[in-house]
Amino acid sequence: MADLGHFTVWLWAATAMCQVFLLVVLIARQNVSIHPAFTFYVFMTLAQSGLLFLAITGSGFWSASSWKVGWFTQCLVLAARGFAVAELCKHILGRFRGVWLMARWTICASGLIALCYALIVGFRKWTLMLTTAELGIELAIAAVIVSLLLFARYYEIEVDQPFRSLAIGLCLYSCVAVLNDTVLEHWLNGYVSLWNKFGMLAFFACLLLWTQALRHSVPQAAADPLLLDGSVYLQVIPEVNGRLRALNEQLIQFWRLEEPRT
Amino acid sequence: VNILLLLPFAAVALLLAALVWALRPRRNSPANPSDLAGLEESGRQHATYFGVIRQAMSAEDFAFLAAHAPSGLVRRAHRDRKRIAILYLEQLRTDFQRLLRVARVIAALSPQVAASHEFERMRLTMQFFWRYRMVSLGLYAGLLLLPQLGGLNQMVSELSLRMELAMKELGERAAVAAELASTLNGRGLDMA
Repeated sequence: MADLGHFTVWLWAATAMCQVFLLVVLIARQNVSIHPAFTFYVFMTLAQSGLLFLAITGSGFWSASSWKVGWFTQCLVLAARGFAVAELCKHILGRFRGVWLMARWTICASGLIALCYALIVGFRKWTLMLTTAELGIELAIAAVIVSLLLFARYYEIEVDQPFRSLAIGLCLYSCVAVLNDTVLEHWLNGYVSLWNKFGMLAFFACLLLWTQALRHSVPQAAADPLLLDGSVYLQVIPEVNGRLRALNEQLIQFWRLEEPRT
Repeated sequence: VNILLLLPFAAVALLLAALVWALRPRRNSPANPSDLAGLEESGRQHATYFGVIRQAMSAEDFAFLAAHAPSGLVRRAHRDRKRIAILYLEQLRTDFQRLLRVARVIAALSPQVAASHEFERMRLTMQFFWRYRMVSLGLYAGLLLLPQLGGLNQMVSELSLRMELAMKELGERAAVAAELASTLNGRGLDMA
């Protein structure tokens, strides 16, 4: 553990305690049934901390076994985070069936575009393949959350405070991870220690935000809204779009007006 | 500086800006049944003011004024016409926003929505607000000159007829929309 430095060790311990506390809060406030994937994600991050601790104390920070444990657990944590984000999307938009059916494809597409973008831009060396893949997934997660919140805003769907905090925390942490991975790819040798500290601090801040958000029981989800007959949409929306087009054309008229014959 | 290093930073900056935009408090008051039902009322108001606007924008009146009135009065008439054009533009925007809200409420409560309609509305919205900004700037900067605005007369007359017909139909729809909005407010979709 000596290779990590005191600050990192203390931060690690504080983070682990915060993770345990958040898990306790989730269980005590009976939020596990509402956020099973998020609870699993927090559990996985705690398990990752424990396994890494064992690996590093056993064979050192720079050993091959620590590296393998680090990346293996990171893959699992990223997958768990993906499920937590999917769960969040379902909570926020899922009740509005029509919007949800359309939005989920758009949200997935935005994530896929971000992933491809990151992989194309970032992939240069095989040795950095894992970092690049992580960068891509983190960018995709951030893009998915931002798309989700944009959809919610567009359709005037209110996002309850706990969900909002979860979304902010997940998005901010992904953004920090993208920045970290980007810098790590370029200055690998001299940056590992700082990368660890910065990433851990960001995660610690997110844990505090989530604990604050989930300290109360999340109110039971509101009943599904009474949906309209499908024909209403098909009748009204084309008409509304037509009216919007007509209003749009009025603006064009401002430029097309001819001078009156005076 | 390597451009490849900057691209992820730019992507993150873009995402954070979008995040802040998506989370910022709404300026508009929440949609409510009376707001949506106000569509029909808005149509009536339009019809009431069309006559005044038509008169104010009359090319004949302006020509007469330019020929016979002192320059101070002509300038004042210019200013008033410009003000009316701006008010008219504001009204167009209000109508546009109100229709958008109705469409969103209906879409949110529909069991199935067509992506083509939704994306078309998004495209129309972006187009409208871009043009709205351009026309506003043109009017404030004096790029759209008063002789051009004189043609608003014709435009308003045409719109008047279309609006009266459209609002009659939309009045019926507004009643449906009002019901929808109360459903939204009562069953989970908080419009605040």
